[in-house]
Amino acid sequence: MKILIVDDSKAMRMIVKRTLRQAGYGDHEFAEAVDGSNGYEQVCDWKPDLVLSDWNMPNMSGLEFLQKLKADRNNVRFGFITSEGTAEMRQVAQENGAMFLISKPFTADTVKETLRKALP
Amino acid sequence: MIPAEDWLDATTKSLLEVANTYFDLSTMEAGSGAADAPKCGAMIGLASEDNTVQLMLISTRLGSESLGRALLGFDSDEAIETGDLADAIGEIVNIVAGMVKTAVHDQDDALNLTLPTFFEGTVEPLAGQVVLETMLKIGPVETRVVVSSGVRRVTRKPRSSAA
Repeated sequence: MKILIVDDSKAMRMIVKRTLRQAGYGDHEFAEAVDGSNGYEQVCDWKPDLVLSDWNMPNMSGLEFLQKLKADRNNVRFGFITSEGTAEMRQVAQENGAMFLISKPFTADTVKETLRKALP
Repeated sequence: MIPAEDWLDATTKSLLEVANTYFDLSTMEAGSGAADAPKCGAMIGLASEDNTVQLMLISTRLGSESLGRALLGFDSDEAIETGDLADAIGEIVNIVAGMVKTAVHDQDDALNLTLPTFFEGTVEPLAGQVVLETMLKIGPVETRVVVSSGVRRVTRKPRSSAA
């Protein structure tokens, strides 16, 4: 499976990758993007199976990124990994087609359980 | 308006949770440096119509490097460049601010986060703001957690146009 990690923080992209390995996804392919705009380009070019995106990012937020994909009728599996996890944000994420929202700080167990439920 | 004590309490609890989740505290080095060493850290803002607050995490450069290495999973003797340090410390306060926003959601559901800012040197709060701080040890690293809160309303007198 090809997994695209989108976050403006290099540190967080490293943590997400490390956590995915700890959660048993180490043998999957990873690519990274630095914001929603870069993520959108990568989805078009690299065609990932799953996008894990931050919400608050410069240039194009995670929500705008998701909305752009949906406007293109691109149904790539999409989940948020973000520092904010209010009920409203979870609702907005779901209404816009996100499969899940993992709030930071997250553990390997949280990621494993969330992906187990979300992925076939 | 949310009291400064609540901001500080939520910030401190969130910071400890981030440290306990992501840091291997047993391998961290103190790296405090001299007491008068230049300060280094990151700040982030949360703002709404009713509340304006800046959260700051401050240590010395060496202390911040220790926190950055711990977040990135670097060895304790591994060099960390300023760009990576800024990113790591900024991400710590970003996560903390998100947790704080969630923690105070019942009191203010309209808060927005700014992007984090890394700094080296002295940061002075704006006049008229309530400033609270506490010392917090993260593993062996001594840090200061500072919140400066309050709505700063500036009313300018109307200017008269030159004839």
